[in-house]
Amino acid sequence: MVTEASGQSFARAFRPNLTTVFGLSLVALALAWLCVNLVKTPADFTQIFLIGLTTGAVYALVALGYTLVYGILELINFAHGDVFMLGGMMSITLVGPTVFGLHQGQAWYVLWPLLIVALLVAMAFCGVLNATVELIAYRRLRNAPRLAPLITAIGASFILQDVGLGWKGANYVQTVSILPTGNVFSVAGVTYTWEKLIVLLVTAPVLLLLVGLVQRTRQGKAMRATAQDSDAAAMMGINVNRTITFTFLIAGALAGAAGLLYALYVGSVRFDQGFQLGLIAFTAAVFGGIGNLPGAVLGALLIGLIQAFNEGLSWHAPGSDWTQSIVFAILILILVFRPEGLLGERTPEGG
Amino acid sequence: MRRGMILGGVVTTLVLALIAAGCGGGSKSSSGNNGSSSSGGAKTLPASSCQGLYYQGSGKPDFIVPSDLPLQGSSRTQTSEMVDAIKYVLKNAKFKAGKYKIGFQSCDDSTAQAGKWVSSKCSANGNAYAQNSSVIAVIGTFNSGCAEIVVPILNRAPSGPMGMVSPANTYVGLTHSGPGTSAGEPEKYYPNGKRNYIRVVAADDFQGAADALYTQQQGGKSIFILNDKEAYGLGIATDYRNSAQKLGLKIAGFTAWDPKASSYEALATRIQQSGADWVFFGGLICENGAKLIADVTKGVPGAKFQAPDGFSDFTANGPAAADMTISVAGVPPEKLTGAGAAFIKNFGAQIGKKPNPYSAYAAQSMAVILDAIAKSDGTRASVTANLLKTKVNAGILGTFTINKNGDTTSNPVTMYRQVGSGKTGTGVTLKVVVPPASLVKAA
Repeated sequence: MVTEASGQSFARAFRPNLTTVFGLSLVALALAWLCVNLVKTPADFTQIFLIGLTTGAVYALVALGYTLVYGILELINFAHGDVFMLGGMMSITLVGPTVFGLHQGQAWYVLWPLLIVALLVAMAFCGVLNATVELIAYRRLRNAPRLAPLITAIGASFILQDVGLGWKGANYVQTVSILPTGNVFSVAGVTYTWEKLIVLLVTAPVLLLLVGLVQRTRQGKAMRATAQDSDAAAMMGINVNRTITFTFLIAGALAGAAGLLYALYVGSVRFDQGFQLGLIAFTAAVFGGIGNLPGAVLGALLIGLIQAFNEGLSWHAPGSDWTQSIVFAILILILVFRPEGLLGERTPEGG
Repeated sequence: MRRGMILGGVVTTLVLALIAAGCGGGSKSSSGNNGSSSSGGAKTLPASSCQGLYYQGSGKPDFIVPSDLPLQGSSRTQTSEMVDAIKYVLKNAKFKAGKYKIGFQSCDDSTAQAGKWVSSKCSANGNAYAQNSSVIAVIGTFNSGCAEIVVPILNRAPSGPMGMVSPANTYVGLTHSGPGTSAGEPEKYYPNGKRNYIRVVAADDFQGAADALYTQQQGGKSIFILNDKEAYGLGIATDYRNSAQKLGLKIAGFTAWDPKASSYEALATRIQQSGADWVFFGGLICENGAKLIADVTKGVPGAKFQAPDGFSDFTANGPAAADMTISVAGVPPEKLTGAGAAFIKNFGAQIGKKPNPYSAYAAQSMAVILDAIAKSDGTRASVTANLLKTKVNAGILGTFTINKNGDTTSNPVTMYRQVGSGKTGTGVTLKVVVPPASLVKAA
């Protein structure tokens, strides 16, 4: 039996305010729009969903690096997107005619081993680069006011952009399509190609490995301890500097993997693309709840889907003119209604 | 003590700064290439934006004619060749225009970071030309958006207005109003009320109309039109749409592409879904055009693809652009006669390849300016007045005049087919289209 007092408190708790009604109405409108498009053109809707999922997977690899570093250091590493860009340029150099000379239709026993070598080299290159940036630019500012490392990160971003500009010039650096382009399936007008599946096949295990590393290994335990309280972690014998460097190394390696996938899937890289993609990835990390690994992936997939739906659906889609505005409007709404992001603020210690 | 040390430091810094300034000044005047400097008769433009003075005549030049083009980014191959074409004409004229000795400087309105023209460089360049009394007229710009900034600056130039001749701007609103232009155009580009801008290339109302006519002639029925959101791209896309509608073609879609996007696969799906059998890319190659072409040609396999002169650098369009139709205002280089044919033959031999269509326009621009200077009294205003009375008889681009708006009366548009890509990319002439006046009016 519900007492009068408890009934009043229930009513007070669930009294709809204007902001909530507005937010829920927007969500309902968006869902209705998606449903109408799904009913009108189910095949195209599914096709666009798969495109968005693949694009989101690439964003996720970059977003993971952002969230990993933020989780442990509470630093927005603006240079991360540029490390990703250099990873893409390194990958294009490796698979291009000057090193491996890979091309479309190459025998699988040549293509895959060399691609794995390229992946490992790109990951190692970006990992070392990111750790070096930490060592040179951020370590000495560990105890400085927060603004100092933030400005330093922006400076590091510009320096790395100029390295990319000096290395490959101002134009888009193109690479030939070397991933298999055949269909994995083609059902009722929906096709899914191998190159897209490969992106997902790389992203999913990377996420699982990363979560496993943070949750189940000794180094992961050190990362979680450092994220929670670096002074206490140091008192317990954890080498905090080494742990932070290791985190940058892992984040850089993720950027390297993303760089290779991006270069092969998208086919071109430009020196300023890291900034743009880094901005999207950072938004994804905030979207999902910065510091939270699954949150970063969720945020990235959502942004990939929003972009694809907005640009690809035919029934009353605003189109490319509005993509950035829509992504950031949704981010603002999420932050208004759920400031901690979709999956809450669970730093690496929370997994 | 501490205050004394600080004071000493400040004084030392000031002294070092003065010494450095003195050193800088010395090198400036001696080299003639660092910063604005005098080379006898003419004062050169700053090295921050412009290359050194090109002059091989006797003594020192009386005036300088700079070109203002984007020399970095996707257009680089094309614009560098245009600079060579301008130099070729000046050298053949023996660096003289009537009684005046003329030098040339190639200025850059792009940055490496942007890979295309940037408004701050256009503005800085425009002011540098206006403030340098040796600059008598300007060749440029390449991009209409940059011209929107430079033209009004030159219009208010001291002893002006200073004349500007563009070999490549096609945005309609620079010279006359019409569908697709903004309110206040073109008057807002001429704040002192006098015209100072002409172009030797046909405007986009001609190109858009010719493109639409070609689409119809080739059997296109349902068209999806894309634009890059810039003045030029949106303008030509709008002109094309208006003409296509006048011809009774169906517009399956009209939307922008995001130059910063990683992928255009979703956009391609939308185009495919619209049932379009023809896709028109209204914009510039430097706006991620190669990636756009790659994704759209792959995602809309049954359609045909067409682009305006923003994609006329055939070496930059990428392999997916093979067989795409690209329009360029004017007649094709191989159909030029007389002076034009001689230019294509001799300049082609100099650069070791078939010249890009815009090289002839750059060459004609320099020829028009030299003619106007020769007829002038040596003032900017006089050169500008003569530019607006331009009548070319059997010139590089044939016979044409410039009307009161600053537009050319020669308005054919040539359709090319993209063949090859990268360094071997070239355009094969398909057809020369002259759109009827009624269609141009509708554009």
